[in-house]
Amino acid sequence: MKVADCEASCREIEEANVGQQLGEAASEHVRGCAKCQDFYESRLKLRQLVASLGIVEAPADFGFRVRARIAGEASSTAGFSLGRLAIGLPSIAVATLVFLVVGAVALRVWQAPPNREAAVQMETPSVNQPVITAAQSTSAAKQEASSSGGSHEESAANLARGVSRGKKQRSQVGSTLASRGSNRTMATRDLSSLRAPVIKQEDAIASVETSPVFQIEAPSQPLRVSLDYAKGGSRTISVPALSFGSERVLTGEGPSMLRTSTKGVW
Amino acid sequence: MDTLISIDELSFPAALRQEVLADPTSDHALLEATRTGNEDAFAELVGRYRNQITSYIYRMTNDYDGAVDLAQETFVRLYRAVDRYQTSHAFSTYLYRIATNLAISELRKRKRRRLISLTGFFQAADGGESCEFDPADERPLQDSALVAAERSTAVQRAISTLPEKYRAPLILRDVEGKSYEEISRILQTSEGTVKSRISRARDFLREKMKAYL
Repeated sequence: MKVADCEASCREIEEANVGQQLGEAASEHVRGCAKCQDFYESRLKLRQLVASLGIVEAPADFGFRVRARIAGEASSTAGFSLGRLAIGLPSIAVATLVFLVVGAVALRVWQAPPNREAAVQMETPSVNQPVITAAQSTSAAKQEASSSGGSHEESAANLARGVSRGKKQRSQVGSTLASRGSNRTMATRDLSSLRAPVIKQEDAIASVETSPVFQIEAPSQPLRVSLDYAKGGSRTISVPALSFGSERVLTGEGPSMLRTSTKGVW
Repeated sequence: MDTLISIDELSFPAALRQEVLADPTSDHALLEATRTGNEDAFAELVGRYRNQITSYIYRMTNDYDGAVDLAQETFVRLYRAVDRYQTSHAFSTYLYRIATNLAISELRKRKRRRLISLTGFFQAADGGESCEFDPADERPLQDSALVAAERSTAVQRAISTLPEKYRAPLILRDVEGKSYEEISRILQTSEGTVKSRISRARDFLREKMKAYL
């Protein structure tokens, strides 16, 4: 008797329905193999025993109780429903999520800096301000020089006035922004569009071999000095950030060194 | 023994399925009518399957009152999900799947509760689930009806000691007479797994029922 035949027969016995005749090959094998015969009989008895359990009947009022239960559930959920629209937990969750998203977007739009408006605000004062050209300043300087002769003290005062005017302009813009900021949160503004203070020739504090000497308050940043000639020409000189004492920055290496500084200032 | 519970259990081609739906007494047609608010159609479905479902859950849980309660819950869930039902499977498969899930859930709840009872003192020797204390009655039996009743009780008790993963396929196959294919759809496992589990369940049962074989 082959083992493969036993396995095939046992599988057929397992899978057959109760009362179903086995196939010819399996039947023949079972008749000749005592082990398979025993397995077949025990399985048949067991399945007949289990199948004899039969159907257990439901109580007579089963249908009525099911309907009562459905009606009970419907009435209990009616308290949470709005007309035909049932408000469940998922609906509330979705509504909350939508509300949060819309709120976040609205807040972001409200807090965004109005860049265009700020640019207009910054440019407006400079438009109305009287522009002193280099030619005008030169002629005025000549008149003043001829009338009063001009002293170094006056020049220094004028220079101080010019510098303080620049500071005033910046502070005006600053106060404008601050007043706007009282309603909204502060935002970064580009102040590079402001007019730089104009230093006239008579503002020179000293003269070294016919070259006038001007005093400029040097911030710890690179500067751009624009020189205007009476004939209409102009030249711009870039001055790197200068340091004094321990803050010394070698000429021409300022920006690169500044770049290596973590704070931007040595 | 592939007993046909309803005509829907036959795997018809798509064209024929329309004819089944056209039959007003078919399960799918009744379900369709329930979907449109026909309470009588739902009552007809309940009447058609209540005994089968109650019996199946009773075999699974070995608790009649609990089985009736879970069978009712099965129909309530069917009613609630009537809009989501798809006619691609036989209705009875769908219903048995709900009932199986509820029964297994109940068995797990019971396991968690771990009620202190006499059963706790009589654990199976192989470390399996507990079996109830049932001393042998030495008195002679009165008649064959009593013998049959006693045998049924013993079988039911033996089934209830099977692990749940073996219990459900065995009941569906040997008590309910479902095909392997349908059992695999109800339990959402492969046919091979169903066959091996049934075979293993019979081996377990054979050990427990030696006295009656």
